[in-house]
Amino acid sequence: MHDNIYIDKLLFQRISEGDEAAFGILFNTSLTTLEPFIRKMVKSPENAKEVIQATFLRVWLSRDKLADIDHPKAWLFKVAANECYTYLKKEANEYRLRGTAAVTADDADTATRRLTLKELHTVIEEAVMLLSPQRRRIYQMSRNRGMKIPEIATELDLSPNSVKNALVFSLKAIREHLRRNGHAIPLVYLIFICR
Amino acid sequence: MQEQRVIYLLQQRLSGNETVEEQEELYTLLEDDGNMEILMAALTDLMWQAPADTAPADTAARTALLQSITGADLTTPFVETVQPMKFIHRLWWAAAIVTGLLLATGLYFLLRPVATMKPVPALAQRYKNDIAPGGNKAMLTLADGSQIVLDEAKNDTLGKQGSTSIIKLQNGQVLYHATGATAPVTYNTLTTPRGGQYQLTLPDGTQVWLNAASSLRFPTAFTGNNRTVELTGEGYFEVAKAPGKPFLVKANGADITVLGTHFNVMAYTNENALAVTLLEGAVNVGRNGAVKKLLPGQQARISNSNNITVTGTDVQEAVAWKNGFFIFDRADITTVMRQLERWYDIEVVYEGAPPEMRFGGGMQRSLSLSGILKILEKNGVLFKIEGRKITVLRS
Repeated sequence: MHDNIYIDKLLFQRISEGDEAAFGILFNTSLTTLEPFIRKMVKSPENAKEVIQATFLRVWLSRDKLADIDHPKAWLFKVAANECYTYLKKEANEYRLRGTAAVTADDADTATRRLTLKELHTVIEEAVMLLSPQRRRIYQMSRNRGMKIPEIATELDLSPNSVKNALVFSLKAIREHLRRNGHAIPLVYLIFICR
Repeated sequence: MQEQRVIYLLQQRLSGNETVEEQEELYTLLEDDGNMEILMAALTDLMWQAPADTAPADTAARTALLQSITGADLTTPFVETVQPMKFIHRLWWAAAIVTGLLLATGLYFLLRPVATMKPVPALAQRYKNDIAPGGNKAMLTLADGSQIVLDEAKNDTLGKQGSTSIIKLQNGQVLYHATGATAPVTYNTLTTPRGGQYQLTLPDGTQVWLNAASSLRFPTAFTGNNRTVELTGEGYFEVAKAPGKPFLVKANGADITVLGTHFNVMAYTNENALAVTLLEGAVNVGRNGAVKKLLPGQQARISNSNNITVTGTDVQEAVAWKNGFFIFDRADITTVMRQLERWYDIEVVYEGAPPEMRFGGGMQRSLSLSGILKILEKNGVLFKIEGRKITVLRS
């Protein structure tokens, strides 16, 4: 497939450094095939949107690990398959509970998932507030101002390595805080499966 | 082979031709967690074979979706406090929750402009002097026009008007004590200067906190069918319950009617809108015939156009001043400086256009002005203090 050339290690390397433009390329190119697939698999555009959102949220919030992934596209598909599986399982459960086709339960399902995104943001906000002032400063310089690691290092008079470590630590802290609040991002096992 | 069957069932689903029996069969497979690996493998295989979309994508929808994802970990920049504070964290949580509900994607662009550092004049050159924070200061004007300065008055009965005693308590607050309702009712006015705030207990037991540069006109006894007071500036009310005798606050053309409840009224005329924030109970907010009812946690804002808009809000932010804090949620520099003007009794001028940045977080009102400005400077804005004139330097 022609988009293979975009989803490569270099792209993942850039995303791992917090490059939003690189993440946008991954998002848009992979959706060319992923979106129609997911839409047919979950049977509605609204549900497809939620599954895609969940998939890429996982990727984004684990970006510090992406540089270590050998087969980026296989890994991404695995994450997407995992989200589809979770969705299908939920649909099956609802079908058994209600005794009706899950398609009719779409609205309720969408509502709960949307709420989760809002909660997610709140939990992340909390996690960032709990970081030490220095780590929080570095994290927000990276995210809010879009600064690159060397730029942050220069402004704060730190080594690029300590800035990088602070960012990795912050993402880890965010995932840990999410896990404590019931939003697990279990990506590590997926990395090993795909190797 | 079960793998083949799983692939077939998923293909049927993808084609939209699956029968009810096939759907049931897939559901049964899904219920058994032992099938997870087979199902995951089948889903991944089919994904590799999936054809690309021929129809053009909805770019706007995609961009919005992408922004909701990368926006998930954008957080409100925190104004760091000088002293570590447990309390502020609690308040900040409340602010953070509200902020969390409003996705930060828009904020991202607001925060983009970053001040590139020019050589900065030393602090000692820019801060010629310091300014103490405001304190408990007010002036009580009695019906006969006589005035009592409340920060100097001794701790006892300040005066007697008709059957009402005015008592100043240990903590500096003023208490009105009505001993009977036979004497004629007169009106008093409590006025706070810039740099002053004051707490007052009205004859009915209602407690009022008056913020800086504000005033409250009230009767020495509430004898009629309702309890009416007039407010300018900002006040926080904890209204004592009195069945059948509604409490009415008149502020800048708005009427706030309550029974027993806790609420804040911000009616400074140099702010964009009058804001009524309800913490407990229920209030009606009206102006020019329009009336809106508020529920706890809601804020009514009345702009110059007389429209009353009601939204959910962070109540802790609205009453932070009473608890000794400035709390901001993505406030622009002019909003921050207007609050400082009232509390430090300063005049703020801008060297160029006000810098485009937003502030979030909390600071103690007990800090001296230089303490506050140093915190704000960490966000890239610079100030000059000369006497009571503060210049926001061009960044």
